[in-house]
Amino acid sequence: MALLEVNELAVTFNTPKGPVYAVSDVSFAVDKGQALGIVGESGSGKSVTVKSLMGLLPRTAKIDGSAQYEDVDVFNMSKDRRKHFYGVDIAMVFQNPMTSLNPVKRIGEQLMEGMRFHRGLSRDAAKSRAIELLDLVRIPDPTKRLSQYPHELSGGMRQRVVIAMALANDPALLIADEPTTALDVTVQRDILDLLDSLRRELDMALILITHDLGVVRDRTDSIAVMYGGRVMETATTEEVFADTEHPYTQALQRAIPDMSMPRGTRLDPIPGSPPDLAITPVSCPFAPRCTFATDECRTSIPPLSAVPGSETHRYACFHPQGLVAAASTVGGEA
Amino acid sequence: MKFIATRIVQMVLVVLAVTLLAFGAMNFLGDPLFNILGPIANEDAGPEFAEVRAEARAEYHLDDPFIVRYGRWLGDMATGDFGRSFKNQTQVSTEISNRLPITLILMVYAQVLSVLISIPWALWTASRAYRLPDKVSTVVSFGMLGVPVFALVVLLFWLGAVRWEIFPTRYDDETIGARLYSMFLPALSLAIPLIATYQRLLRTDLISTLQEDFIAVARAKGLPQWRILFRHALRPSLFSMLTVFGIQTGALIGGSLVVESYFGIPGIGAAVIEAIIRDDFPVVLAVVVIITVIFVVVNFIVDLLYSFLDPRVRLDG
Repeated sequence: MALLEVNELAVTFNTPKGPVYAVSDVSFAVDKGQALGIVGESGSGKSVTVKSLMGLLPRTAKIDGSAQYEDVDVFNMSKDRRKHFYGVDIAMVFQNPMTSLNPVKRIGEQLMEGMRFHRGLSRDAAKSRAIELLDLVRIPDPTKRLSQYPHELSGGMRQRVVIAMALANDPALLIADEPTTALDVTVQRDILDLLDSLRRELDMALILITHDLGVVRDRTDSIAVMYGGRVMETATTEEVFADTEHPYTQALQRAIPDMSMPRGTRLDPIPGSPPDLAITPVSCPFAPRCTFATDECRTSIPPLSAVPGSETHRYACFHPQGLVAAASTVGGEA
Repeated sequence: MKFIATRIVQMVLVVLAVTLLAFGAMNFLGDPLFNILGPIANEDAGPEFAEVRAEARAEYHLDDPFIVRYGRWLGDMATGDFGRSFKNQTQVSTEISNRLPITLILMVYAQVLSVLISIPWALWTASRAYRLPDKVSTVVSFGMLGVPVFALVVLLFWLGAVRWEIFPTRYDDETIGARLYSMFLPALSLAIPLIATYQRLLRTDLISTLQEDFIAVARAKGLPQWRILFRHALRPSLFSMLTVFGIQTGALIGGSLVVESYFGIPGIGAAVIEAIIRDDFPVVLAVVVIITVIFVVVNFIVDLLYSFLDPRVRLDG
């Protein structure tokens, strides 16, 4: 059974200029101990999706649809359940470690407050747990770090502290929202590998948000590709790379740099820019940038369809490019 | 340490400059001898007063050059001797030591009230920014800022002491409790504009702090709202308020002149008003020096507190 199941999630922001449809009709599920990658470019609704789950959206946001975490209805929790839900059942790691830590509080204090509040640990117990956590995220000399301030640590170290903070109460699900975007390239890989190994070690589910399809390839069990606030394609990681149906997913794949490509090969960027979400959605959001778009794509929204023979692979496109297309061509000729 | 040393040198220079200006004003604006003796200081008043005049000149060293008198006055002050009052010949230092503590209590009282009221108020409004309670608070605080102190004392006195008879009409220093109780209205009238000032500043800084990522992180940690406000948002938001706190100490001394006279509190403010009316320069000078020192010291402490508020602020700049 799924640990977290999101169904037909829609988030609308009411702005003075009218509603903005940030997320529409998003469904996905994460199983216990599994990793889901949510992939998409800026403005695709990935962050808004997880922020809605974390209860971090401003009051102007209107949330529809449902999110079920074990026996908890995430959007309609009782006050008692909510008190010890975030930071205990689900925890989150943010994009920018330079701004994720309170600059005026010592690392130790920030690590300990969550456990002390949720678990009622004594100061000493929380302190030894904090040292244990810093050790877990491979920070050298953990005892010394407790009395340091965030500005005394490098970006990579700070992100490790943020991860340690998120792990404080052994969450069953960790959401990492572009955890390496703000980091130095040399550190990015370390952090991603750390998250991957922690997930295995702690048997924790992970939602990894990224704009880089290459990042999720070796680190996730399944993938949801988002664009314009909608899920374009969702499948197991294996399936997505074996058989890419959606033109957008294909375009993302072509944008991954590959070390084996000959020197001088240019990456293939996606022309155009993301859609304006303030317009009532009536078409496939990718249609304006898609080489395969037809009138059908511009006048109606393609529903999520299943790839025949797969229970997990779905795509939202009228002109699938993978095996589905090949099969229909063969079928057409027969 | 270097910062502290530099600041101390600066403070001494500021105090010296103020004393020079004040002492110069006493000696060059009008005739000091006239201020001491009144009309008989004039040569035309008749030869029978010549002896008195000579005596006064000798006692106050009026025949010495300005710079010598200034040096002597500074030196005496350093030993705690503010000279004698022109009018009743009492030691100014005695008068000051009787009255200064009362004014200090009044000022601290007003600041404590302001801080205790403005901080929770700002937290409450910032966490409801741009919603109805915040909008109402904005109107209320601008109202509080707009009422001048002299109107405020009359209004509070009438409401608190006359109409509702909650507070005594007279200053009462029988016990510490009675003193604080009878000083409540005076302190409140000094505090009301301060409360509004602090609330405005802190609210604005809090609103921007609450947008910070580390606040979202604290929320994601599942911490309750009050804890996020007090433990995470408050401290990094205190800078502007703290700066103004230091500066307002000066305004507070000015305000206490009005408040002390109105409520009959025998503080330094009431003393300086009497002294100004009677051209009693030694008293005025002493008060000016003391006020300067308080102001400079409070602002020095404020500078030290910045580094306490934010460990990234280094004092050795």
